[in-house]
Amino acid sequence: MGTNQQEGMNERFLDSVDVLVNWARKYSLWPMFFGLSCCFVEEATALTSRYDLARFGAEVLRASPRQADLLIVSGTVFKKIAPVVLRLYEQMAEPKWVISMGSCSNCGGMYDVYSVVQGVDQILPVDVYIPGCPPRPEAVMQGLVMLQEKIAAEERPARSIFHLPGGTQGTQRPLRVDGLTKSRDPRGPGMGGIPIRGSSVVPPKFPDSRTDLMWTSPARRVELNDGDRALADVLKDRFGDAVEPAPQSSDMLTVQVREERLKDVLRFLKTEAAPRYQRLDDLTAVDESARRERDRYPDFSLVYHLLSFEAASKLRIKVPLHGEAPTTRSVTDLWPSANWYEREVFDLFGIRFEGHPNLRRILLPHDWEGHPLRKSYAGRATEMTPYTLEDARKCQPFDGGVYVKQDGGEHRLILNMGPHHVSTHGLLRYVVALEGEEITGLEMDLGYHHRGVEKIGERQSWHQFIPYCARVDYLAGAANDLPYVLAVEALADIRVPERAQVIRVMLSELFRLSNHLVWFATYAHDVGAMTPNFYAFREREMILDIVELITGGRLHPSWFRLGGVAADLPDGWKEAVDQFVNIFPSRLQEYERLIRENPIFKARTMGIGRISLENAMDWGVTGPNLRACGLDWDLRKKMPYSGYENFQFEVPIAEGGDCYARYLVRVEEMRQSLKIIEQAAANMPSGRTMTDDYRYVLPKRTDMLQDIESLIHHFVNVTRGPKIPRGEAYMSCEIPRGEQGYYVVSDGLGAAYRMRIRGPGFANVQVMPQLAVGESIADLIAIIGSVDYILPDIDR
Amino acid sequence: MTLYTCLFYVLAVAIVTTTGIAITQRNLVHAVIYLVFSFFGSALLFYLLGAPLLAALEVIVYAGAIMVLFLFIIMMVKMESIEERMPPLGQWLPAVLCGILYLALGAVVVYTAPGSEFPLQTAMATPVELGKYLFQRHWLSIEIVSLLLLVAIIGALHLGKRKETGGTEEP
Amino acid sequence: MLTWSLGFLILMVKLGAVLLFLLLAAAYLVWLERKFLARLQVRYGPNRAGKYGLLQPIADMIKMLTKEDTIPEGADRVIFLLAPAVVTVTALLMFAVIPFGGDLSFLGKRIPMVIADLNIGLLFVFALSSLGVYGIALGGWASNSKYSLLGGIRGAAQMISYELSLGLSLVPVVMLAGSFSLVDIVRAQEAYPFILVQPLAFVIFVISAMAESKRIPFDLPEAENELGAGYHTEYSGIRFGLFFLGEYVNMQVLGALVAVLFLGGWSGPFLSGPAWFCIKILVVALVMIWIRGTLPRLRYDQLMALGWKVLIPLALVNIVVTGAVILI
Repeated sequence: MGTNQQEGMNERFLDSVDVLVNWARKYSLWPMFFGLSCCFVEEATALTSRYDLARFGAEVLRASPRQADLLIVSGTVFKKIAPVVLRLYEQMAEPKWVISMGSCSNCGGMYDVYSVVQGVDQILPVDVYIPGCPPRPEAVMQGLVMLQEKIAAEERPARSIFHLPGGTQGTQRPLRVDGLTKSRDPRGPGMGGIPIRGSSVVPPKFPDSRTDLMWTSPARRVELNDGDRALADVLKDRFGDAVEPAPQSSDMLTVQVREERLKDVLRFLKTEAAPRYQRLDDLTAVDESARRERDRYPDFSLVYHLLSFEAASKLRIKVPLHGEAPTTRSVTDLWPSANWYEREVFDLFGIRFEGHPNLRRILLPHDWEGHPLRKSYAGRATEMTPYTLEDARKCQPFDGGVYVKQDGGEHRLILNMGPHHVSTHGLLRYVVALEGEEITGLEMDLGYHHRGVEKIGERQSWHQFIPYCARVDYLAGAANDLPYVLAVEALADIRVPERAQVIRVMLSELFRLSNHLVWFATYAHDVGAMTPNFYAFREREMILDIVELITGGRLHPSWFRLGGVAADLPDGWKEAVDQFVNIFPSRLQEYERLIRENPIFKARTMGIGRISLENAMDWGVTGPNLRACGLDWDLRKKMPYSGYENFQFEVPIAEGGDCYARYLVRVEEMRQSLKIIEQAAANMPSGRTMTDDYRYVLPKRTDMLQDIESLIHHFVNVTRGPKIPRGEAYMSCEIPRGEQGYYVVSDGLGAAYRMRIRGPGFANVQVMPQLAVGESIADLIAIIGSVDYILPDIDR
Repeated sequence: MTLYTCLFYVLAVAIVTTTGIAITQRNLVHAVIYLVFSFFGSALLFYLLGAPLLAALEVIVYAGAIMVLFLFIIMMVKMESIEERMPPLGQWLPAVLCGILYLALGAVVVYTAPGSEFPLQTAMATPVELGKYLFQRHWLSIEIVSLLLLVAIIGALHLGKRKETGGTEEP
Repeated sequence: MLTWSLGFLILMVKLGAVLLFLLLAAAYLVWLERKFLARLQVRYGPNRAGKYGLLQPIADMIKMLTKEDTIPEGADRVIFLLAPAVVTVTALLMFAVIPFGGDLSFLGKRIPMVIADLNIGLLFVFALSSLGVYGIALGGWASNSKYSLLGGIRGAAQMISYELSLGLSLVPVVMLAGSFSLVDIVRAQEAYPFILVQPLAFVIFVISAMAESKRIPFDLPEAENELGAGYHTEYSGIRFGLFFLGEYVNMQVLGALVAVLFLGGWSGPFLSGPAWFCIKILVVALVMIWIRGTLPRLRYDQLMALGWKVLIPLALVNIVVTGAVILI
């Protein structure tokens, strides 16, 4: 009886301790400073003024897993990063909780592709799932509150605190095993009997492609200008049979070059030709083995896109290669920037480059098997063996010392920054060799954010691919739909109505502003100022409100369509834009006063991270980073598209190529963007927002309900997707971070044959060692912030 | 034995022990920590003897500044601890000889000193008195010492500077 | 014997009161910082745990107390476990010599509102603050992590450098007051606070004090953007809490020192001494939070340059000038 009473007392005591501790814990959930991709932007937004996660006591972001209570897995869990996520989780001290944020982390989401784990719950236990792609900041708060409720309702921590048996605390959910405790079908359970739509017409297996039965007009053919024709003649004279200008092209002069003379041709073009093609815009390959007319194509084609600053023109060089694993010569001695491009081709296609200084895998983990962009490679994660906890434990990344060779230097400290670090702005791993605090060597390991989007482009129909575009640069939103739709429109010769063009420009510039605001916020944060973050995100929310009003989405509106935009502007858009245009200049001035003239900020950025103009051109640096070196080069002015030639604006440039110059250029760009937005809003033309050439596009609903032609096009283009004529086109645009290009190759099917994305970040980041070696760690952070890159467009 | 005597012996034992450990420790950081304890003990001893200013200065200068500098350099320079091995006999022998010599000299000094037999009178040196004593009676020696320090600082600067420029010339 | 035990009792009461006050104040300084920063950043800050989020520090404390205490593999266990205590204890001990108010009369006895009025009070504070460095440096070293180590190295270098300018900036104050005792220094300011006659010393002292307490723009040892969490990267639970506590107690110490040395300590019209003293500490703390919300962070070499090339020479010049003025 006595012992029972004693036990009852004990129980009551433990119960009240439970209540107290649970109360404390639920209001003190410190999240880890950890993000994987797009979702993290919304997670960070939830901390800012409008949402203020601090109210729940959860604003204390901890950079160290030891001090964090809550791991919000925000974004896509890549196979290369999964071991790191697991390690971070294991480094956290008990009790710990996990929120899975966003569709990718929940189940792989729209990335059913070889490089993505189909749900973080395969390697970690998860307490709360937040749906959405990406979930809104409100959803993050909802998730946090649900976790608080779960802690208060379900957990009994007192016993473990007093080292008694029993009780529960922290995450207790079981792991999911793909195929056993969760459905392997990307559409969810119960769909097993139905084949995934479109999967039967994906190369190399298209048994019943009805697209072949459809008729389409041939690809657009452009007339070459005199300069291009002259160049073709010069090349023909000089190199004879080795070069073969293509008879027709949809966008630019295209020359087929035999592999033996490739380097001579490229050297000639870079140094001697008039005009000189100084920049290697892009280098990629196409696996031609699944072409419908197989005998007309080689096994592989290498594709070089060159750009001439002098003539503002582009040139495409195609090199046929034969064999199962062909070898060619590296051009790294001509363009240092070719280094990463060639490694990428090697990684994804298995083509070797002789004379390359360091031909290793670049995007995929070092122990990966196969070359994913080959047509014979299965693209979907759900077709591969499921990813399990053992995989995450086994596939560890290389040690930092592997990357930075110790060349006899004494007292060198190898420091690993990333792939997950507060200031790497995404999943990028810097391996830094230090002497004291001075950086003596810097290597980067990328691919932690490789979403296989180029592979996905080969299986999604032409329309279905648009949502993936915005996610290639998740801060530039609609701005990076533009090069894709422009490329396809160039190929199929789709004319876009003027109103749609102006709407596209307006949205692109709104996103440029929004992106630069995030850059401003994070840059200030990188040099240690915490407050500008909150101010800049306040204005960013205003922009996103306008975007939401117009498109219905925030980060990823997916609102541009082939041939126009998804819908006309809604009522009230003008007032919202005008209000913003009125408010923003004074706010911008306020930020400038806070940061620009601040002596500490100046000391931290002036003269830091310098790059010369020649270097920048050689390395393919684009965008504000190039303009900060003093070159007046902006595609919107030099090779106008989408009607940019009708707008009055200036291209800001700065001298010096240091962190401060990059700051000045971007801030001035914000003013110029605002000018463009103002003009677009004031002079918005009337008329259609979608082309009336309904062969390739989604017809307007009113038309579809009225005439049978439109109805048929609607039916075909929605269900099967349009057939785009055989051909290729490369289109690049000045997105906020630089020049983003889409190289689309069509084999006359319902999906692209090859979808190549040239991201500005890939080239801008490759140059990082030039900027950072010789500076200190603190400078590296400032440099990273000033270069403003984003991972999905580097790793794609 | 008075309370003060007790404290004195406790402190003396602590100082000797920590110093002993400090010079035999293999782990440099541990050695520094023991040395800090030793300095701290000496400071307390000074306090006990009625010299609070000296005690505070001992802690600030030796335990605080100089040993932190040691620690800083150890952390900067050597990441791994020194391997466990005995120093060769060639190093032991002179060390032992010097030690014996030092002990003998110390004993001689202690026993021949005129005041060694009598306990010191309780004294209290306040900062003001000490300052006056030093700067009024021994101003010349202080100036000489400060000049020496100045020379040392300039020398260190010169050495540091030359190394810096040499380093940049190398690549 | 009776007086002795009464003295002992009073000492114990004072110790308990000061300790309790310091710990509570540290907790609510965290709350204040979070709320004030939030206001600077156009948001609300914690407001769910208790009214105005007033129970937030309690929740954080219970959370940290009941969190697992991790020790990394390869860490130097003893040093790793003790380092946080060094930081907190040295910070707390500094309050032993700081006077909260004038003398109090109790049962006919005069009780000074200070735990121990040492005649070397100021040096005592310096001695402790220079020992506090060990907590940072050794904590960083013992964690067996490169980020911690870098944080520890930065901390050691930064704190010994700024100790110098901190000390030198106060020499004129000591010269004016003619004593190291903090009580005497406050008494010397009865006519006017020293900030009026020693503005330069005040500025140097405040800057050095902020560097000593490792706050933005001088928070290099724990620079989040560069070193993760710096020297305390590997600490979890209550040991991390101790570092945290030490930092906020330090903030109070520095506020108190500014009040005592430059703002006339407990003296002020209308209100009682301790009230004035608290108000002055609070003002200094708010200014420090404000600065944290405004400025970016210096780089390591810039920090050193500021200390050695600007503050120390200025402090020396100030000493010479003050000496000359006193002589004349």
